[in-house]
Amino acid sequence: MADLTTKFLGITSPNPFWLASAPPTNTGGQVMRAFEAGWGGAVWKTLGKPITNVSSRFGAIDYAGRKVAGFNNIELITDRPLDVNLKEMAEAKRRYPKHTLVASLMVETREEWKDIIRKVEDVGSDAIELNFGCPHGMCERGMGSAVGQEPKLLELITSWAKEFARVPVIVKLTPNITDVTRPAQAAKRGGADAVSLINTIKSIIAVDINDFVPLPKVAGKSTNGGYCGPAVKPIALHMVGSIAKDRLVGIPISGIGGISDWRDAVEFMLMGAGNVQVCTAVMHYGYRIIEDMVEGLSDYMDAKGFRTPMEITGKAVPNYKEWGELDQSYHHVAEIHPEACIGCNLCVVACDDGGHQCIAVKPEVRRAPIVHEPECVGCNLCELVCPSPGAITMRKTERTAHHH
Amino acid sequence: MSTSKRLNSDRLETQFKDFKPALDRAEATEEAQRCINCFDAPCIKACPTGIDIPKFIRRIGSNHVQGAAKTILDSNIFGLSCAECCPVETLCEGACVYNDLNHKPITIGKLQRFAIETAYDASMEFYKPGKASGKKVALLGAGPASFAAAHELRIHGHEAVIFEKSEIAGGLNTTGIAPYKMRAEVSLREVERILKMGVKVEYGKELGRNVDLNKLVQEYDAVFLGLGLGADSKFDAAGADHPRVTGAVDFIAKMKTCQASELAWMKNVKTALVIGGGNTALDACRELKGLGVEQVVVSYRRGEAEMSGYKHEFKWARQEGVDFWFHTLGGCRWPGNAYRDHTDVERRPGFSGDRPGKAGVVADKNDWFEIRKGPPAGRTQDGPHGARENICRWRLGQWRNGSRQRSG
Ligand SMILES: Cc1cc2nc3c(=O)[nH]c(=O)nc-3n(C[C@H](O)[C@H](O)[C@H](O)COP(=O)(O)OP(=O)(O)OC[C@H]3O[C@@H](n4cnc5c(N)ncnc54)[C@H](O)[C@@H]3O)c2cc1C
Ligand SMILES: Cc1cc2nc3c(=O)[nH]c(=O)nc-3n(C[C@H](O)[C@H](O)[C@H](O)COP(=O)(O)O)c2cc1C
Ligand code: SF4
Repeated sequence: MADLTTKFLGITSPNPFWLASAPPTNTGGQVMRAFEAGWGGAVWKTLGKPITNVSSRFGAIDYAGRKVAGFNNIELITDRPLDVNLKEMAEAKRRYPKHTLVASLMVETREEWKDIIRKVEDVGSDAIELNFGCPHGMCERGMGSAVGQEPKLLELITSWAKEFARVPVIVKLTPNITDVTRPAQAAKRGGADAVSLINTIKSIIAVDINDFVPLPKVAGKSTNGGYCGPAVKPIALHMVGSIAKDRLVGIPISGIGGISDWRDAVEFMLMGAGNVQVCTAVMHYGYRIIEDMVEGLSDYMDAKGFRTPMEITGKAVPNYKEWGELDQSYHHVAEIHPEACIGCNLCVVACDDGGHQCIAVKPEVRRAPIVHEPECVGCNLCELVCPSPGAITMRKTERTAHHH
Repeated sequence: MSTSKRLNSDRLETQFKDFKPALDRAEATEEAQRCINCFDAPCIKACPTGIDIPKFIRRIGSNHVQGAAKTILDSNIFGLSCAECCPVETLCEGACVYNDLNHKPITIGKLQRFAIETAYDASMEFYKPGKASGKKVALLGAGPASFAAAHELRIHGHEAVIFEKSEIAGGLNTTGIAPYKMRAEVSLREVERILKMGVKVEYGKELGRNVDLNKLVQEYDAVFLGLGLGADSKFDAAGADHPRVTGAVDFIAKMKTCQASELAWMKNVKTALVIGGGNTALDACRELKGLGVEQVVVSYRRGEAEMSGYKHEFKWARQEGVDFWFHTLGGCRWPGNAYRDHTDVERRPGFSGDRPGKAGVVADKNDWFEIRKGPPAGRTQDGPHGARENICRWRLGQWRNGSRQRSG
């Protein structure tokens, strides 16, 4: 068993897995149960001025028999009184001193920031996270992603927080922006100790085609929400990687977005995250998923010879290049292995209609199709659609790419 | 013109549960989304009616069940019956590429049933009679063949009149299908929809008795022969007239359509011998099991490998506790092919089929050999193999076909 102890911003957690600020960190009872289950840290559900939440709040995409491939919410920040939250935070930190407690905050004025930062530090928060990411409800009020989309404002508020806070300050970024490195650079300029990303992506999850109301419905109407869950992972990975690569940022990253298991977590860390945060997967399956995350990460580290999780961070970043830096002369072609082929001919139709028309059916039933190599551009579409493991692989060739 | 006989509500087949239960919507969607959607799919080639299987499955997956049902029915108007009683294991599902991946093949039959049942439950209509062509066709026999033809004729605006010798519609699809696969009402449900297209049926009209082919040919523009394969072959052997010896098809028909009282004698039956190794025998033995017969033995003249019944049906029959005796002709000569071995018979003591009141015998039409009620218990004197034969306690008699007489 590898040692998963993770240092992030000087804070030590039993492992790199934190709960993201969301319903799983709504109450003290939950957070303590999560720590008991093995979560390394928890970012408390965002605190701020009193609001009310609506019902319903959530929507989800099911894909190919799997539930909740993508998840959408129109929930705002906490709807519980601040003093209740503070009391429970104090208790959680007192009873679980080794676990990391982070306060997520979203207020408006300088005075409000000053006031709330003092309060959460008083109850023992190890760090604070500024929620500049929420894409619905709060941004219309000039908070959340409205700040995250305005680098100047983000920098200003970050600098206020740094002025008042004794503990590290993490800035949570919104993905609802063209170039996420801009707000990350602003956070750095404002003095942030780290950034965390991604918050949810502005979305409408679905529309009821019978009554013409988008989902989720609140008394027959709906509004845009934020998208998260497994479906957003590739978007989040890119954003994490692009910040990790950006020399103007250069501060630690807490990776968030579609992480469901240890492998997802490792990918985020390889792309530059110092630790990770999880929400949807816990909402779907509960705190217990931490067991597999811890064991899986440990086995991975042992197998790869990593002594600490920190050694994983950023290992893939040097391999993430601009398109123009890629080797244009490299070429490979599809190779179909008849012994593993099941004869579904999906590669044939995919290559015909969506590729480069270079795979032909063999007339006999259940015979492996044939690749016409000179026509193959090596796009690997056929390999991706093939349902039989190992039936199609890509083989390096000396010939240069063939252009049409 | 009369209407089809109603099914009796207390008929025995209602005791049976579905061997392959229906899918609910969530299960169907999940299963449909598992389909690879093969290009040039082998399942289509394996379907005798050429249903575009991946096409209808994709429609289930996209929640367009109406389109799924239409895809099926366009190829096969008996899509529901076929979904429930086709031997999919050897047809579409047997050809599914998932078999080659060592995965469970797509349950195509169940998906087909889901699509059609959902559409029919929602009273969806798919076809209308075509503009009257002025032509008319007589169809002989009210089985699925004639009904499918009549449906097609109506779509093209031709008149279609079916002549049926019995009082019930649907042929063997109504009276023959094992009830754990499909009950008679499913067949009639499909017939009902075809009747709505304006197909007429004359019941009690038998070709050769009160229907004259020459007259039909004169009266109609065309005549379609959909007479099926005919009744059970006669069990041409001594003892065949015993009240507890019955042809399987006749027995199954009674179970499926008649009042239970018509098979009242089945009540006390504890043991039954099914003679034959085809699919009707394999249905019959499982049906007897389902009706509560404790010991059911299928006796087949050749070995397991030669049995014409489907392997999957054989497996299920075994799982349900049916015993199989292979090579059990007890020395009776089989035309052209001498019976080889009957040692299997010996391994099954305790079979007491000859005890009065305890035996039901169902004879498959394909096997023609002779059974006489034996002595109450104990040894038969005249078997060619002496004491060995008595264990089965069925006394095998003589092959009554002229020269092929066996001694003893
Ligand atoms: C016991 C049994 C189980 C079966 N199980 C299955 C199964 O699980 N799956 C499967 O796919 N198939 C099964 N079959 C086969 C299937 O039932 C037949 O293939 C199908 O019914 C044939 O349809 P048909 O219309 O050609 O003939 P039939 O269904 O036999 O219909 C013929 C019709 O013609 C009528 N008729 C006959 N002679 C005359 C006459 N002289 N004048 C007027 N009318 C007449 C008959 O009364 C009958 O209604 C089974 C068959 C049997 C016997
Ligand atoms: C391989 C590939 C190449 C694409 N190339 C382009 C492109 O050249 N120009 C463009 O506007 N969009 C391009 N797109 C984006 C698509 O047009 C489309 O906006 C995107 O795939 C989202 O739609 P979908 O996921 O529902 O298919 C490309 C998408 C793919 C998958
Ligand atoms: S063979 Fe199987 S996987 Fe392929 S299309 Fe047919 S049902 Fe689908």
